[in-house]
Amino acid sequence: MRQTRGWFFHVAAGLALVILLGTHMTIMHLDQVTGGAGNADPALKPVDWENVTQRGDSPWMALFYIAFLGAALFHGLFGTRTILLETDFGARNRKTLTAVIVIVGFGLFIFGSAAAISFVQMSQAVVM
Amino acid sequence: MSDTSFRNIPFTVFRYNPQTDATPHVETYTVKVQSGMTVLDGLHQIKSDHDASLSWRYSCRMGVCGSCGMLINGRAMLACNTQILDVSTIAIAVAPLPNFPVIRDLVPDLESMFVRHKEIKPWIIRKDESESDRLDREYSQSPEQLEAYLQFSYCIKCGCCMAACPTMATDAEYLGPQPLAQAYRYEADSRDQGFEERKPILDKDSGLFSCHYGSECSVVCPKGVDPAKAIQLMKRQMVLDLIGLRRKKCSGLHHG
Ligand code: SF4
Ligand code: SF4
Ligand code: FES
Repeated sequence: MRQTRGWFFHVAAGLALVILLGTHMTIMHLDQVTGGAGNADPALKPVDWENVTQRGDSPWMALFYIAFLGAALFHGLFGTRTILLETDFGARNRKTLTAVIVIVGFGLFIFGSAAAISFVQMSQAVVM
Repeated sequence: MSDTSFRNIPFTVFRYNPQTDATPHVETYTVKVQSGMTVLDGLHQIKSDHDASLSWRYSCRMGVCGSCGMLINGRAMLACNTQILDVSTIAIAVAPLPNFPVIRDLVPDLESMFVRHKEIKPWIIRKDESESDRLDREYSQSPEQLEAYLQFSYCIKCGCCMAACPTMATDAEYLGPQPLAQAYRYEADSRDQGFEERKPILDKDSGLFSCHYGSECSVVCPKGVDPAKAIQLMKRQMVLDLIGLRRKKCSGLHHG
């Protein structure tokens, strides 16, 4: 189920993005509305060092951002591929284009995941 | 009717004979138009009064055979089914259907559509092929079961939807609205058991999910088939199948 599976996961990733991005926005930008939900010290801003390191102290944080990254990359790159495949250039280079997008996607995913993991490791070291 | 009911309308017609012309060009003819005249009538007048070499395809003159699809003032329509004065009282431009090669003048080569139509296996498929030999039996179908696919079975293969589809214009491999709508016509038919056979054809690159649901195909369809709707319903069946929720109750054989 090539196209069907691709479309299904594209939509699923889009729905996941709504939830993950919504959570990120709520914690990071709506602290005045929520009273600082998700932040260790509601009196401080979400981007203040204490709050950042407290959030990063949890491995769930890494997991959350890795899932966020995976959903965003899949949704964005699959959509880009779909658009490019409809151009003459894309139609002529279908396999190469797919390979480049897969390599770029995995590369960015590994890079972003490593950054999320080291952020958590660093936060744990600081909080300890 | 008196002569005053006629009016002269310029017809700008796409002309191209691959055997003699390096590139296409347009020619303008004045057509004496009377209320009730179709674009097909206008073309006949041009052929008899101005240029006998003008070529187009037609047969039934009544919107049934699907031969006379062409681009009339920028929109894919049947020439026999379109009254000139309904399109314009000022000027008419006629060209062959886009997204198809041109054989000559207003005659498109529809073969790519017929090939793709055949590719989706537009016939009733039964798991037990020997059923077709049992001439004393029939498949019963309720009015509701008939209604489920009837609209989609009105397709006359005129190619207007294929000409209007923006995905067809950018992706030469795209299956296109006519074949995709017919895939759903059989999926919606309670007598058909061919989903598994059609699935890989619909699921390939440039297949079912390359449709963006812009619905231009449905806007131009002269028979009210609504290919865009059929395609979205077919997508639903494919997704339900992917997640294991597709259900279909098929008619069995009964004594006639
Ligand atoms: S779906 Fe409509 S427009 Fe398309 S080929 Fe059939 S009759 Fe013509
Ligand atoms: S709805 Fe789909 S098939 Fe119809 S014109 Fe748009 S892209 Fe083409
Ligand atoms: S001539 Fe048959 S549909 Fe127009």
